[in-house]
Amino acid sequence: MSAASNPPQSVPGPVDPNTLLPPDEPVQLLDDQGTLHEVEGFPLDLKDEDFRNLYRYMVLARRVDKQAINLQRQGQLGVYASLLGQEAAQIGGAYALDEQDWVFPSYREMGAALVRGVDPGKVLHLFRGTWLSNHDPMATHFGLLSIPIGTQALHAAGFAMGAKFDGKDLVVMTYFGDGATSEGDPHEAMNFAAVYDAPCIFFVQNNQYAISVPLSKQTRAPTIAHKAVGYGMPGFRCDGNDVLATYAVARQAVDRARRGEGPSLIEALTYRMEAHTTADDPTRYRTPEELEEWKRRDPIARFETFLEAEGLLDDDFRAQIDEEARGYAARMREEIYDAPHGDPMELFEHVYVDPPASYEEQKAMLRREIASNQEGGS
Amino acid sequence: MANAKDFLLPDLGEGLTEGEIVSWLVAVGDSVEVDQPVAEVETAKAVVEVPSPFAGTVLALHGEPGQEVEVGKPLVTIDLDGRPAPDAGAAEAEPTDAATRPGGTIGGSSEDAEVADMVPQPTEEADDSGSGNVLVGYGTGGGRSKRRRGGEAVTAPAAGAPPAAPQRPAPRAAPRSGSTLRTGRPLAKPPVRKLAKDKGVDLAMVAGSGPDGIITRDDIEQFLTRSPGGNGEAAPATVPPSEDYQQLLASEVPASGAPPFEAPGADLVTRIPVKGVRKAVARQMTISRQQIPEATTWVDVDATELWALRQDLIASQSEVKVSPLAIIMRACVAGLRDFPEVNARLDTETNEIVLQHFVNLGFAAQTDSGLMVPVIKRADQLSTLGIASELNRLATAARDRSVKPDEMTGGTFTLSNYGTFGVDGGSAVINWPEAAILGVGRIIDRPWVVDGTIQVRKVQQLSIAFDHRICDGGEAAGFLRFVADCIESPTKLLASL
Repeated sequence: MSAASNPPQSVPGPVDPNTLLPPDEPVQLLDDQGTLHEVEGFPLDLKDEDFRNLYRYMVLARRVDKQAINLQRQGQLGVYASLLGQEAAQIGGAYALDEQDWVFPSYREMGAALVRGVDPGKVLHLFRGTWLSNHDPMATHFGLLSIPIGTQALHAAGFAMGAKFDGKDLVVMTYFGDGATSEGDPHEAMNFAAVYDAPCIFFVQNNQYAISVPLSKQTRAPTIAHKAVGYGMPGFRCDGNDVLATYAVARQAVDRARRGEGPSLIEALTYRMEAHTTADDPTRYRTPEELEEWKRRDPIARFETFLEAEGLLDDDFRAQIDEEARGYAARMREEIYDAPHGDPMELFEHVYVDPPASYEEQKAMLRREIASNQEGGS
Repeated sequence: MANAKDFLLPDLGEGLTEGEIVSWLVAVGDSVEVDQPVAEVETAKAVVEVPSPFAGTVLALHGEPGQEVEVGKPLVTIDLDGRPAPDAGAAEAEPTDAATRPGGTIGGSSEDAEVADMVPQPTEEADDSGSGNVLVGYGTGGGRSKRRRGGEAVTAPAAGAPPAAPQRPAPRAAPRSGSTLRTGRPLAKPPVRKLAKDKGVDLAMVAGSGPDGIITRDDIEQFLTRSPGGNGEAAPATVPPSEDYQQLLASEVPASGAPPFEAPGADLVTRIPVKGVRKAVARQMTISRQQIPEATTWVDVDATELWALRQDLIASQSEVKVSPLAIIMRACVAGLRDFPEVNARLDTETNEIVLQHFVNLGFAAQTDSGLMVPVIKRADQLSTLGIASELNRLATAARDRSVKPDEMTGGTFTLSNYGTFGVDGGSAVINWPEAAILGVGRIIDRPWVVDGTIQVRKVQQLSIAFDHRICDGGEAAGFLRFVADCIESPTKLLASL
């Protein structure tokens, strides 16, 4: 009924599945030695300034990440999910977006946040439990970090559909991990986005583990990118530790979406070199040899080799980034250190105009819990 | 005096309560920068380097390697005047941190060391001492190593070369809901764990009412209500460890067919948390009604003689105020000797009926805090006046809440004197795991046929609810009739003593 009254705005003909399949090999522009090889269909449109910027964001992301871990170990954050090793995947993807575009992140997207101009300390409030975030999503077009696995994919698909219905020229990118591909929400989001040709990029950072569950226990699909065919959208696959590859692939997907050709799924192959979160011990489920292997593919080091060869990296620029990183770190400490907690009851505000009964019950339950905590504390 | 500030050991994982100092990375008198690692600390999760939040001079290190530090207790004390204020040095504290410095090179040893440092090292062996807190990740497992890492010397792992063959214990299966026995450590959330610790409650003694048997704050409070000493000695008597509380508690709430909760105006309802005595009562009643296939029978008795006897007893001495209930209790003790099935319990583990050749007589007492059941211990060894005296003492103690936990446990048979509410009859709930409960109605003047004529007599109704698994109508009615006969003819009571 609703389908009849509100059909997809364009009805595509049958799609040849072969046109949607990911390439046999992941797209890689920089090899492990940092040498650039062009790949057909994925041209680079970057200037020197862009190369330097990509590097800058990656280094800043790593510094911000380390500072967040420190804050957690100083008791200032309840938990933190590190992105160490995933800088290229996140930053290359986000760098392909324009100012009017939007990002709907998971909880690990501090790198993408930096690209969107979000002050990282402001986002960390979620991990401190002080508030959902202190950044302005409307100004930065960067959504709230999403802790429930994959829910942000729905937000992104819906937002993209809305933008399309409103005739707005914007593209939405949502990040999630390999683990989220087993959840219902990303599945529904991808299906709906494809049906409605929503300008939405589903950017999967396949970091090999969903906490401790390896990819082999996650899917029987040939690759995650192959899943795109089932939804009727193209699947891209790239070396997630090659920032030029993640950018070039995202560029194609973003341009395609902006042309009105619908969503894409990108699988970036990467690895988190840190624990899943500060509450995790990865040595229980992966070997030191494996970690060593991925450390040799460090995305920052590889790009650095390339930039040095191109003469784009000098001590002045490094010092400039270092100073910027110190500034970020200092602001993060300022923002987070001993930041006061608000009234927990505020959790219940800003959600419903007419709260359902169950909601009132939960509210009363929390109020009692707080009261009994206060009694217990005496 | 120096501007000293304590760096309190934070919760390094999620829900951890302590950490063990593996090694100090600074010494007293050292200058430290913000974010400079000061100690290697091992938690149930992993070994991590803990960075200082302050810049200054180290005044004190709280503990030796190998010692545990509680979360929230000082780890290091730092003199802030010894160095520039915090923040000025933010993020400067990683002189060897190639990985986070622009231009940090790959493949160099410093890089390897950094990444290795940032990755928690494996512990040598696992046991079951994980905290059981499973919030994010795969839980704490049994990660604490029993032995010190590195054997005789505490050696930091070689840079870039974590132990070659870490033992990776298989993830422990979470306790299944529906399992009847708790194996391993009790589950509780950190605030509850802390509450238990503060109150000196051993969580292993507490039954968990939450999902998967998680122990809740209410469970601790209820445990304390039963056992103010907090040592849990008295608890098992009223709460069987082998019961599936999740199932039991779930059924306290109507499962299906319950009318949907409609939210009336806040002024039209009052919500009272079910906790403490109320919750204990709710649980006890639920267990009883769920487990016991009970039957009830009742009889009217002429209590005129009992009434007269009571007056005589009061007149004969001034020590003890004797209530009719005390005499009925004495009759019960006598009757339970003749009908031991009514003074029994069912051992479901061994599938045996356990006849008890002693009588601990419970009685339901309505108090301001709710229903309590004090127990007159070894009532079979007490005289009528002795029972009356204990009854009075315990009733008072229950009312002013001075009754001790062990005075409310261990009952073998219970009386419910609902007559005090001015009613005649009732169908009492058996005080599980006992076999029966005697209900005692009010004594009131009624017409009664005596020798073919209607007379005004003191009349009372008695009822007995009994566990039909343990005894049948014969025993239960026989016992009830015995008590009734004693009330009607105290001579019979005397004959039985």
